[in-house]
Amino acid sequence: MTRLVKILTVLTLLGFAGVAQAVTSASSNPASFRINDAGQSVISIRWQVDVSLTSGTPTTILVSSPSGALGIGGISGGMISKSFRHPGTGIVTVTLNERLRVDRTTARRISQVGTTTYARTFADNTTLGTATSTVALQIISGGELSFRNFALRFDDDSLFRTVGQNQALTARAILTTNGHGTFRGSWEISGPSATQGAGFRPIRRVRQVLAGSRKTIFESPQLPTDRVGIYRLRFIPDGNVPRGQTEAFPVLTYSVLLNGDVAQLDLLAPQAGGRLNAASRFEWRSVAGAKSYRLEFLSAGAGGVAGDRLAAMDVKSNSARLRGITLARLQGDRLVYWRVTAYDGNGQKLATSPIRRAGGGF
Amino acid sequence: MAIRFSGKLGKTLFGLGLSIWLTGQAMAQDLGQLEPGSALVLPIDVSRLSGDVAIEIDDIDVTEFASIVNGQLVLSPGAPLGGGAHRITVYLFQGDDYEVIASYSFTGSDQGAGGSGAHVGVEATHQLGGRTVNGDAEEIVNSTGTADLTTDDNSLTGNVDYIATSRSEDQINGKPVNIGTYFLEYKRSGGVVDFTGRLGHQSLNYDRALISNVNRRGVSFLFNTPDDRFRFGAFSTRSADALGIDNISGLQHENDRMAGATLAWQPFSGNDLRLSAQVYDGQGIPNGGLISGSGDGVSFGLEGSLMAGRLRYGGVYGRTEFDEDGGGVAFQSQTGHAVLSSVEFDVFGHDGGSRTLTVGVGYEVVDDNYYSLANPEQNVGAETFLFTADYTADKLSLNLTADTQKTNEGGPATDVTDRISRMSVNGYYDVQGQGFWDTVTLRFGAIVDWQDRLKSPAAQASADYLDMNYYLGMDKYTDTWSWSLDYDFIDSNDISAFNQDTILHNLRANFDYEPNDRLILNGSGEITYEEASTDEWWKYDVGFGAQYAIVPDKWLFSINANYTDTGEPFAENGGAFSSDLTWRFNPSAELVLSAAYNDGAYANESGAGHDTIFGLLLRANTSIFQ
Repeated sequence: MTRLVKILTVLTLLGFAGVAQAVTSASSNPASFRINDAGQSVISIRWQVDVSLTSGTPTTILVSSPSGALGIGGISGGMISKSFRHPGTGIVTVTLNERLRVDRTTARRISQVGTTTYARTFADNTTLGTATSTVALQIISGGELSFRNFALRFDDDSLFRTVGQNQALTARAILTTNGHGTFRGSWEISGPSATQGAGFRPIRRVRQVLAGSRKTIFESPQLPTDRVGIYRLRFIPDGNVPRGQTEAFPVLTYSVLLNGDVAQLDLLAPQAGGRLNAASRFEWRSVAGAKSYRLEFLSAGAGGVAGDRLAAMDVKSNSARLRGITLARLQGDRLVYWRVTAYDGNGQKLATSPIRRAGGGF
Repeated sequence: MAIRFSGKLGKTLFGLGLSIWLTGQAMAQDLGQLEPGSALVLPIDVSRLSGDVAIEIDDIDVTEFASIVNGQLVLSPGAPLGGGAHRITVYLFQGDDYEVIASYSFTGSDQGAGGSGAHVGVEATHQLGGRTVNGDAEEIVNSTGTADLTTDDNSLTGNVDYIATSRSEDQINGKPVNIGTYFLEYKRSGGVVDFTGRLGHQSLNYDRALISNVNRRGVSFLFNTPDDRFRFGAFSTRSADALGIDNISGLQHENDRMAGATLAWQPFSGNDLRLSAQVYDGQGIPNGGLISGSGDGVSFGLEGSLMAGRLRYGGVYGRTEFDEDGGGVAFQSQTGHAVLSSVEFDVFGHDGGSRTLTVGVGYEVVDDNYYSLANPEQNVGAETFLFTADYTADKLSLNLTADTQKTNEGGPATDVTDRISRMSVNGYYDVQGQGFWDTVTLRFGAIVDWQDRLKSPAAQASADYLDMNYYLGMDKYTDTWSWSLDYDFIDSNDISAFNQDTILHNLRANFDYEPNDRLILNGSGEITYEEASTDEWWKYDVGFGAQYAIVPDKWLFSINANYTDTGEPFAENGGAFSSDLTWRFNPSAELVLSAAYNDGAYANESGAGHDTIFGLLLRANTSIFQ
């Protein structure tokens, strides 16, 4: 029996020596990641997997990892894979990209132990060889950018809108963040669903450094309302999402109805979230045929439609600065929304702006 | 621009006495009915007044639409005011504040029938047709719309949106027919106490710390005295965002519900100091979490002003308790405190002429464990000092913000503590020049952030940085076209041992062109160059759209195209092209022939990496009682 085992071992070794390819090692970039436990984080990981070839025959290789796992259990990244054509010999390094969302609950669990790992095991499609790599996840009060709150709203703070054709409509993303990083986001639109399809396309890229404990408001550009139909809007961090990976960030739906009769009015200043005081200057693009403009200030008390009017100001030109009598009505630490409507000489509405949010207090 | 009067007696005791006499004589004097386009003559002896005058109709400043005609003060409102009773208030600026010198009433011409009628309006668009995606056929059926309810006296208002669609991507909560948002609101005023009750989607904002800008579905009540010196409000809503018919009241599920109340009081009639107290209790999944937690909180606040409103102050203290798993074994309940305070002052007051300068300081300290389901936007974990300055002149607006925060507030002693500071300047300049520069506005700004490590437990490497972000933008518009140009530059300098620097340049341009009522063109382009520590890439985005009315109100042709070419990690190239030919054979109905091609990152239907879509749709609009 001992001799038989020796023969089988030699044959096995000879068999392995003749293996065409095998995953030999794997590594990650970054090797460690600092997470803030105040909210959810999105980690971008580059896995680099070495595949050794000895056959000399060009072949298509599929490197894959069915799932990732946290050391403390819980979330698990899904399947990632990549296929490539190799000329035949040598070691080839394949890069697989993953964006892992660490939710707030998991971050809190990691904070209880201080640090944990996220591991993946990679294999190719023909051999038994595997390689494992880990990313160390550490909880830190600063660290990389994390999202304590990531909310998406239309301009009147609603979650769903029906608007007339060519009516003004914008959205805002309210991000409360900790940590530090360059925020890369995209406003993306899908639709009209029935004619253009379900794919998202960018309408505005956003790049801004966010640092510390902070609330930031990003306002979308004017959303398309020229074509009738159902649209979906999202604000995605880190640009495009690799195919097959989903992100748990909100998506808004709006519908453009036929027969809108009020044009869009473009706002120029102040920007969304700007402080509201005596130094505030309101400015907008002139509307042809307009004889008067009404600048209205609305409360945040309604949601879904414009709130109660707190104050207003009628002007003849395309800009306004507030008098004390109007500021007195807006005083206090409350959120205020504003919009501008243009009227012709007969009092008919010509154009309406989207609703913009002004800051309350600081 | 304020109306300025030159009186023979000037701003003297006689003027003050006259204003008092005028107020007594003119209180609630009825000026009759105002027809659209006509003017009101206010019976004020303008020759006896001196100083700036401002005029309101209800809560609308209409001073710009007042003028002196033949020695009389004439008011010619531009925008519509609506039917019913209205009040005119005339102010004279005296000392450091506006004082009421006269009040009048009038009736708008669109008088309702007595305030008890109700109106319902429905607007909806329906589509029926078919499309193919890479040769596979699909039926399209959808209908979306909105219904509004109002009464003549606006005491009852309501709205509901709905969406019915065969396309699963567009459905709300996977249901082919569903509602979006809805609300029903009842208001009663004119008695000892005003009342507002609301059911459905609403936005609640009681204070800065505990119940702030939370948009949820539920029920709320508000009682307030007509002068708003006393206010009591209460609410109960879902803890999470919601659409659709499920849990329509927002109150059905105990582990997804919160409730709260506010009591606010202005103790002195001659002073706007307001005191408030808030409480809340709730269960729900925090933003970004997976499991339902539970918590409660209380807050106390005060706000007011001095020096005739030039100095404004506010402060609030909040305390919360939150258990991440709602009493489970994995997490313990955490207590957090928050103090948010601010003071703001108008430096020039009314005498600054065209210049205005407002400065402010603030102090905020919010524990890392502070959390309120009713204030999800609150940033936490820092002690922050803030300074702001806002300046406006004829053409220029400048906003300055400087803050410095110490992190790890209320966090574990084993964690690092950093000081993160920021200075930002934002500016807006309305050129108002000649020729080309007549309708040009410029935007510019800079943000600098830097971090210094204050405390670092063993084996914790420093993560200091210095970031600079600059931007410059220009907008130009005329009656037929507009364009804008923006440039952003980010230099993120990682001073730590990781040395992961980033440099980013972004250039963006947009244009709109509408030379006549038949043609609309728009386009955009963006170039980004980014250099990270281990990689660098270029990214190009371009978009174009055109609409042409072949026969106005009958035949319309439109095209849209987008393309992205990128070397950014995790990103794919993509392109999208679509074209519609619309035949409006009826004012409320049209037939649409469409074609679209989506490729790469923009293709998300067939899973084949590209989608070729052809469609034919019948589209109709329903408009009832609008």
